[in-house]
Amino acid sequence: MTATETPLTRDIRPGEAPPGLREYESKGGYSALRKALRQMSPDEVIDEVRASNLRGRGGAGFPTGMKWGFVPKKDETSTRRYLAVNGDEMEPGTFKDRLLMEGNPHQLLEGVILASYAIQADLAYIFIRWAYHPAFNRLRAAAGEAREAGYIGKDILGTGFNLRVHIHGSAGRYMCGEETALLSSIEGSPARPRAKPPFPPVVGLYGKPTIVQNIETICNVPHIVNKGASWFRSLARSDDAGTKLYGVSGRVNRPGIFELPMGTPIREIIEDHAGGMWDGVRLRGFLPGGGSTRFLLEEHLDLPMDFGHIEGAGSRLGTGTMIILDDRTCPVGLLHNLEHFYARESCGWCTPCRDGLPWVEKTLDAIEKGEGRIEDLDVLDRHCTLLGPGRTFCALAPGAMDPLASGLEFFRADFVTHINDGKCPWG
Amino acid sequence: METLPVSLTVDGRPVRTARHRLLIHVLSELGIRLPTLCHDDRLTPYGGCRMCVVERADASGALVPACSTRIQDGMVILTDSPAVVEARQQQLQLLVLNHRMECPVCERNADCRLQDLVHEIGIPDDILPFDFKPASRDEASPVIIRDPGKCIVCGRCVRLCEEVQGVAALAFLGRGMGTHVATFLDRPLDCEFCGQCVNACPVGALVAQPYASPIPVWQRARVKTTCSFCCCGCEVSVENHQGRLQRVTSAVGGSPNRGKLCVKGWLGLDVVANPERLRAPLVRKDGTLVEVSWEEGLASAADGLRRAAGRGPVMVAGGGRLSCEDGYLLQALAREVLKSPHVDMAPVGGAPALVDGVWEVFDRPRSTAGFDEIRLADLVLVFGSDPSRGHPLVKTELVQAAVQRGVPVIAVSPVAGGLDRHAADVLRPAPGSVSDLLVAVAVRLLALDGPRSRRIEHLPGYDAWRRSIEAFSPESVARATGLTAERIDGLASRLAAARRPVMIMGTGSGVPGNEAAVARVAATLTALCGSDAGLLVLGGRSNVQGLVDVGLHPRLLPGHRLINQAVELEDLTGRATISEAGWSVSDWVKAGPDAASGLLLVGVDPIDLLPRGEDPRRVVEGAGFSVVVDAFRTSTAERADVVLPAAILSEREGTTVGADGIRRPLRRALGPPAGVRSDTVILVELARRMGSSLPTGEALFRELDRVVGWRWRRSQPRRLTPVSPPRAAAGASGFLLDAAPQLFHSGSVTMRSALLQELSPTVAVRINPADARALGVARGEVVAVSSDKGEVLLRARLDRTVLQGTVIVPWVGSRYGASTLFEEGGEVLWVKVRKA
Repeated sequence: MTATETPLTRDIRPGEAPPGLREYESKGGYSALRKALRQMSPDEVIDEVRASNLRGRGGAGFPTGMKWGFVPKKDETSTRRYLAVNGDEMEPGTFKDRLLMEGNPHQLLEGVILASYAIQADLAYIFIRWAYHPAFNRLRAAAGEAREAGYIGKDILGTGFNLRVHIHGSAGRYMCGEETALLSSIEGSPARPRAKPPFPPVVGLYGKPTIVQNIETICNVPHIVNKGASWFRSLARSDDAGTKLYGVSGRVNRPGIFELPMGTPIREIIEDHAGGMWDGVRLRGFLPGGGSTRFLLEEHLDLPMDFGHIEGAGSRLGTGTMIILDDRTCPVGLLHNLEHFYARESCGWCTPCRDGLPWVEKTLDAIEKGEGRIEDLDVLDRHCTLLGPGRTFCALAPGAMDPLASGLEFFRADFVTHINDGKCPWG
Repeated sequence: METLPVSLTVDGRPVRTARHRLLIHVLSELGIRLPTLCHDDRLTPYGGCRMCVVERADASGALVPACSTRIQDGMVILTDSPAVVEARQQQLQLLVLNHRMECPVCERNADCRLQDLVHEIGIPDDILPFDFKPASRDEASPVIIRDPGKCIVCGRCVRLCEEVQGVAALAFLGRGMGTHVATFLDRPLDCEFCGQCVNACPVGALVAQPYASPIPVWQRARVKTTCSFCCCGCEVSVENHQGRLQRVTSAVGGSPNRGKLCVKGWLGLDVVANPERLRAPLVRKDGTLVEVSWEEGLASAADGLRRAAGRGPVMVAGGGRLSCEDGYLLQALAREVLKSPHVDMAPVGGAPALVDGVWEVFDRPRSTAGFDEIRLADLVLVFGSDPSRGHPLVKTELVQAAVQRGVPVIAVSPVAGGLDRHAADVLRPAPGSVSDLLVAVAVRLLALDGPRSRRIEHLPGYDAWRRSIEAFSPESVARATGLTAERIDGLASRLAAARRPVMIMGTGSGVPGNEAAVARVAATLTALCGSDAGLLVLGGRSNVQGLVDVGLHPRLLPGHRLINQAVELEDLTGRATISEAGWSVSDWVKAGPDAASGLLLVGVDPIDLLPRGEDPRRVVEGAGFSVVVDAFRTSTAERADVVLPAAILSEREGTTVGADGIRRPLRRALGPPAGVRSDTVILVELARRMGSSLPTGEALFRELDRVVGWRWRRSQPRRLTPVSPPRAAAGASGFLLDAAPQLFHSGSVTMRSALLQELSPTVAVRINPADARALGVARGEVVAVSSDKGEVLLRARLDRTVLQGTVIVPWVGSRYGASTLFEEGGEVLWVKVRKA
């Protein structure tokens, strides 16, 4: 039954060493590369990805094939182009790319080579979160093997296609996950976002056309090339194609990462795969796609977990990794913890984010400690607008306001109780 | 209307405009002034403070910063909607809450953008009950106090330092609330002290230590004038309180410098308050100079000069910082009153390049390019003295060209320069071979693009010039310049591809080579590059161009008239002048101690500043009677018969002409101190006492307008002259002496600035650490630098930016200066260096 296929994680053995080159090849690895380089033009690879309806897994869900199509064609301009793969996985509650990088580095590398071929890049960067030492080491080792085997380097498989791959260890900032800040960081500048437009596919790394793509997105590419767009679409249980690495954290019995068909209902993910809530603990709400998404509630549990349905419910699929709020956890404390993170990780460029987030954080801190005033809720409401979408240079602050604004909406009574009682009801 | 393809709606008004513009510029044309803190038109768009946000009604009400948003067709913009006003107020509140408020005692009180915006926009009235940012002031630098507790993180300082000054001494460190402006390893600032950061800081986070003053800005008088430390012609605002200097600033809207400053222009004015300044006329009595009244001083001077003129030649010389008016009066006093043709300026750096160089090719002795041309240039070639030392504004323009616009800047110099690291290419021709290099480039340019010769072949002298360049074979050029044919071809191809190339030639005391010959070749190359190419000659002093224009020159009457055009001049002035060529300063020095029977020196100190080889001391002492007009008791004043104390720098009224040929006002912004008079008054009074009347005030202004006018059209090529064949370069012998202008010092005036001396003592030689090691010299030890003309003892400063085999010795200072080592003519100088 196709619904149980798990192409991304099939060969991953958690807790063990990843498949080496030989094992990866023996399981069909690098056959997509052979197929694409020998039988397909770059545009045919892009067309296949476009037809597969693969959407970016980093959070925004932009159609991948369409993005690749924005890169000027080689016959239009001889300019250099780059691929940058975003493995700066610092979204709170998100740990799916780590699994892919540590668990099957060759799958990622094959995707990188295929994507580079599609956009005709001759240099690809894999940008890895500072803390992900095992991922960094395993990818470096795998890249060495791939180079040795002639999958990376000059004249790959005798086709004349050249590619260098740099494994770049981040210096450690959440901001690096923003695609333009990531490019600045690779260039050696502070990780600060750039104005868009122009977008990276037109003006990116070192001013050249650049595709920035999430790790999980890229890992799908070899499978799409191998088995075709319609197979990929058939994996899903809704309009958004493929499988998805869903994550669940919080007081569930089996927190973790699960590769499931795109569009698997949320209740199924939590109950069947994550083992349901602890005994005696009730789910009050959840952030569906990492820290930077709006809360959803119990009433949303039967929604299919995909881009369209989650957006329809007022939140975002984001990274697809859920953070669950239960009735034993203080929502103010949870939000304070999150806003502490965002305030620290603001790049410091624009006023509302740099100076507004610390105010939010300190206000939440005061409320949590029982030192809040009822006017503080106005301060928080005001910041939800001031730091909201379209009000700051990049998406960091609006992302930080999503959980807060929805938290204030859904759990306002808890805030008021903190203020009236002068203490946290959860202690 | 077809030419304005973008249409947008602003507050309900339809607007059409050109493509790619920034929203803020379009709005400003409509009279909409947006509040800004981080925006700076000199910098790459930033969009950090977000005070200038406007609402995009066509894009779900997004608030976009107008300063960094480019217009798009169909935009619907609201500049004053409730959302916009609310966002501005709240952002302003955030900035205010994180700014240490001590307005009443802040140096920037009532001169603060943040304060202004709070008044204009207002802020919500709730108060953040939390701590402010830590507020540790950095007061370790002698000049710049950094106060992070007041910083609003707009980044103008950081970006100016990198994009304009090209230094990057400041950078952002930290993230989020911890973002702060920092120096390398948090060391005290040790930079060019250009003042750009302090001048651009919208609040009091960066202030100038020397200008920390309890006097609030509203009690100060502020006068906009032209800086006269060099010939860039920067507009500066000088603030004083009851005559005391308070601060020097510059407005971004000003021309030509657009608010940019340099260390001399920003800090050097403290020299006016130097306690050593002369405060009363001095007359020599029984062998010593004694203070006398102005009446007596002027009478003695006039009397002595009149009698000297009766006995024989009187040499009259003015400094290169004299105003046009004073230069004109000085030559009139010489030619009309004293009937002496011996008129010149000193030091002359730049005048030979203009008069005997550019004028040989173009129809005016003036540069053909200015700052606008640099801003439009697609290639810049820099040779001669390093603009980053002598002409800091030019340096910032070239950094901006390279860093912001990607324009290739080609630095040509045998010694290291401040532009090297921003240059697309650096050529190191053998010392003294720049003119040969430029001819070689012209030869290659013609080989690459033969039809180009049409631009010059109609000019008289073309055939002779064409024949003369035949001697420039790749081999002879390589022997002369030490550069391969490929290097020269590379430069020629760049020039061939450029549509608007600009050549910049630096001159000044201590710049080796024959500047007239280099300028002539450069002018020819400019003509060959076409009418959109330009040549900018940077003079050694602030008003060299203006003084050439008004005839403070032995072979030139006012208005670029030749000596034989004196009648034309007399018709315009109604006064008789003399029509013969006179001595230049160097002719006078060469003529010997007995040649001149009288001497009138205004703002000139030949003993300290002329090359020692000529022994100017001998001729000063030999003159029968000498009058010195100066602000200080210089070495020359020490030997004068009469010394008259004069106003300097921003104490003067008049006009000055920059290297770009634009005449700008000098307005009195300070003093002068009691007992000191202006050059104008002194010269007119001297004339009056010799029975002649020279025009002043309005009459002088009108006469200069008639006689000079400064209404020349852009110069055109008029003729060519043959070049001399390439000379094989002499091998190195010892160290190459680099005595070209310094960033912190340009002459006797800056030497007397306490601040500039503190930042960069003139009594040091800069040497590469490897060379110092080889000589066994440690940092701060004394070395002897010697030529066959003399020896100076200086402390060694180890400096990795100095090329090995080169030493840098400031020109200024009689006991310490490189002038001691020089022969007149400024040929390449190889010196010996040893541990003293």
